[in-house]
Amino acid sequence: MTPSAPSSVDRATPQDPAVLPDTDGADDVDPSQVSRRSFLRRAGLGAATAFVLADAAVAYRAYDQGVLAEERGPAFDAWDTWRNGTDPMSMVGAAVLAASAHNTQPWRFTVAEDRIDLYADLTRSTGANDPLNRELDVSLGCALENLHLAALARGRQPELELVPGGPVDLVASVQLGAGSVIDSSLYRAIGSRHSNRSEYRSESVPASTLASMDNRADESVAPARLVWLTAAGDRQRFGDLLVEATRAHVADEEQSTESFAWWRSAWDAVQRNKDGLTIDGVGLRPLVRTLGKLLPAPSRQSADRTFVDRTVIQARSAAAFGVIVVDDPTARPERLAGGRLAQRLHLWSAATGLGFQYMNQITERIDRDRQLGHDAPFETPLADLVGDGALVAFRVGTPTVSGMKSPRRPALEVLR
Amino acid sequence: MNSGDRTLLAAGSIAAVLGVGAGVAEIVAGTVTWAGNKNDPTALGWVTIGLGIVIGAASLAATRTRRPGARLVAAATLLVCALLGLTTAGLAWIPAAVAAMVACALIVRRPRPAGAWRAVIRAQWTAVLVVVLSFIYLAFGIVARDRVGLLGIAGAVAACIALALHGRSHRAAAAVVMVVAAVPFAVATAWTVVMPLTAVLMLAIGLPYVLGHSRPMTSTGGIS
Repeated sequence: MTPSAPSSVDRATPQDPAVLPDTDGADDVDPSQVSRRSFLRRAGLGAATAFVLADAAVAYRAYDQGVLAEERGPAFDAWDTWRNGTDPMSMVGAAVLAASAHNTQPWRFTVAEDRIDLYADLTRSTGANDPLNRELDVSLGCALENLHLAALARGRQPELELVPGGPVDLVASVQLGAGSVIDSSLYRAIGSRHSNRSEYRSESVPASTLASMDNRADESVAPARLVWLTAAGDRQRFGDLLVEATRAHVADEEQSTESFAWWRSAWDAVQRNKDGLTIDGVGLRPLVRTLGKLLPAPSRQSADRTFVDRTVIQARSAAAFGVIVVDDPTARPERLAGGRLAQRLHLWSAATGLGFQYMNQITERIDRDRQLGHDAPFETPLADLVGDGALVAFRVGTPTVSGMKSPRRPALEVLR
Repeated sequence: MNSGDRTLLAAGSIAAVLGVGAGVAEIVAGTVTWAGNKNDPTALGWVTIGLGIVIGAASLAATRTRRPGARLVAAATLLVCALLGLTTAGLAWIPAAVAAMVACALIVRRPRPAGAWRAVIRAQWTAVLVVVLSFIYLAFGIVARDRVGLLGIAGAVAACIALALHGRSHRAAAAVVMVVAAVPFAVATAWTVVMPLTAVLMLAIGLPYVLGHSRPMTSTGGIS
């Protein structure tokens, strides 16, 4: 059969010649050479096929883990819609973006035209990590602060009424009166506030910055106040205490297990649950973060080792530690006030580009030791550093990696 | 266009319309059982729409060429899309998948001398691998969205254009297009690991292919 020119191929019938790449060798070579070339060609194609199949498998894993869909999907929609609307429901949309321990979001709301009630959701407790509900109450305080700011930004005057009672009762009511629009920088920072667990740069935070943060602790959150640990020796002692508490945490199987229950490895679990801690929130560099998603999900033991290792890095790189102190850390109203201050500080950090991360391992261990009736090896060293009444601790500094959005249940999913 | 091609085009068009319709329905309906209970129905709905469009394009391309390699790629495209859609739109994709499989079968069943497909597969296997890689680009381009996503979609299209140029003996141009197809999206998404890896494979497999000489082949697979 006569070869046809390539340009005529498109017009050929199925019985006509086709085009074949010249990879089988020339015509005038001996059979053994052809055989060798043929073998090499087939081996090459086989290897290429294997690589492509492996690449397709990795690509599927990347797709399944949302590598190219970071911070997107139903679990993150709340971050895009929190400024929409002016009705009370839209204020709840801002409240759900508040910080919460392990991102448990332990809140429920009822909404009326002139009032929003906040309830504790004890089904979302972190168990052995928060046996006295300290962090749960602080988380509710954070939500109250966002609610307060959102009401002001919508021209409503919020009046907060804390409701005493048991842990499953109504926690607080916010009456919504008429007022003027106050679109504060703290309110505007609600959508960009993220815990930043990355390593921080070594430079210190200016004293004026810390003083500005001190000013957030006004009468509205009394008796909550702020204690800073900025001296190298104090930071070292607090950091060492933090790492010790973390080691005690992972050695406590119940604490470790209940903490791991809030870890979301799979993208599907992130989108379905819309809560918990994710690999995006760990503060890793993008390449390492991606590798973490592509690799199989970590075991609890592996996650514990990473927790300790990351705590060492976080403690070492903190420019300053802050501790919110109240008169009675067991009293819910004071915890709520401390939570409001914590959220306010976090929003202020977000507005100014400062990294902020809660570091609650020490107080978690103190509560856990109390629950178990053990000696409290962390209570006295902490009191030596910051005095009595420590409620919640955090670190600040200049982050090396931007904080990322955490999954959120939207307002409609947290109504009671 | 003969009657066989008209039937093929009709099946492909039906598959495309059903596929696009399944994607739209998934976006509109949200998380529902018949669309696979997906957590992110909007993104997957767009991917499904993309698959429907690819099916339509592949069917059309298959009717416009007699080249066995090109028709084989079109058939493979239809097959892959038919299977992929089941993971993006669940039951809603089944009608489109059935129509796409019919179109695929119409391409493959064309009467040919014995051994012709085998010869074509052997000859065009490298191109098929590049098409698979370009599918990965396309899928991730759709998922990435925005400008970065456009780089992925454009890269996938450009890789296929490079393969087509090779058949027309524009080897240098084909090589340039292949590089342009692979590099930008990989650079823009370097942190994803998988995109740079895909780009390396696309260049390692695609460049030698498009730079290689073309030789005529008989329909039975022998070199004349």
